[in-house]
Amino acid sequence: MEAFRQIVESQLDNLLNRGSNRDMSSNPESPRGKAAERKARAKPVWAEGLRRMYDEVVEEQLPDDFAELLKKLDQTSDRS
Amino acid sequence: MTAAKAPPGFDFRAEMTRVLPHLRAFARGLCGRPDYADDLVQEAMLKAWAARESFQPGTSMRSWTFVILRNVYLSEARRNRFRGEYDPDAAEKLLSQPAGQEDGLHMGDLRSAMMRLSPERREALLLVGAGGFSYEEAADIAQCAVGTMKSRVARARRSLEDMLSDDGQSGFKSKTQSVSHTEILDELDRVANG
Repeated sequence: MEAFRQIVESQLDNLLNRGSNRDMSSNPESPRGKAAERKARAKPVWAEGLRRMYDEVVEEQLPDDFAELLKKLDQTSDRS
Repeated sequence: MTAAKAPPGFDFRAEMTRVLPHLRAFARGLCGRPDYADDLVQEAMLKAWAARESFQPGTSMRSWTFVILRNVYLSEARRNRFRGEYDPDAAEKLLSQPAGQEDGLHMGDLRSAMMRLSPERREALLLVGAGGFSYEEAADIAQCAVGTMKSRVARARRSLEDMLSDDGQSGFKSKTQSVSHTEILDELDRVANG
C-alpha cells in the first residue's frame, strides 16, 4: 500500500509540477527543474532556522519551577 | 530511594533532567506557546516519574519521554484545554524576538509557517528536522509507519517551502495547486491506512 501511495505521489508531483521532471518528490536532494531549483535554494535556510528554533529553547536556562518540581519528585520517592 | 531494579549507577532523575531542555523545545514547537509548553513538560515529567520503573536503562530517555510528552499534548488538545493552533498574541511576541543573522530568514516567519502546518506534519518536521531523530526513531515516537513519517516530512517541507519562498519573507501565499496536491495525498493516506 505504501509503495502504491509513493508511486501515485510521484506521479502527482510530475503532473502538478508540469513537466519539471523531478523523480522522487520525497527526495529534495534531486534538484531538477525550476521548482526544484527554487526549493533547493530555499531549503538550507529554513532547515537551519528550524534547527536553531529548537536549539535556542534547548539552550535556555530551565525555569525555577522545574527545579522545584524535581525536588518534589525526590520527596515522593523518599516516602515510597 | 527505592529505584527498584534499576542497575547500580543508573540515575533516572539525572537522565530525565538531562533531557528536559529537549522536552521544552519539542513542546514549544508542538503548541507554539511557551507557557503552555512548559505546563505540558511538567505534566509529562510527573507521568514519566510515575512510570520510571518501566524505563529500560540503555534505551533513549529522550525518545521515551517524547512519547509521554506527545501523549500529554494530544490528550490536552483533545480536551480542548488549548488548541494546537496559531495564536496571534504568541506569534506577535515571538516576532518581536531578535531575528536570525544575515541569512534572509525571519525566525518569526518560520515559526508562523510551522504553526500553519497540520499537527502531524509539524510534529514530523520537529522530530526529524529540528530534533535530529532518524525517520525510524521519529516513527516510533509518533507511533506511525516509517513510510508515513517520511511522507509527512516530505510534505511538511514542501508546504514550508511554498510558504517561505514564494513571495519573499512576509506573505504566506498558498497556491491552490499545492493545497489540492496536499488534499489528494491526505486522501490517499486515509485510504492506505484506513
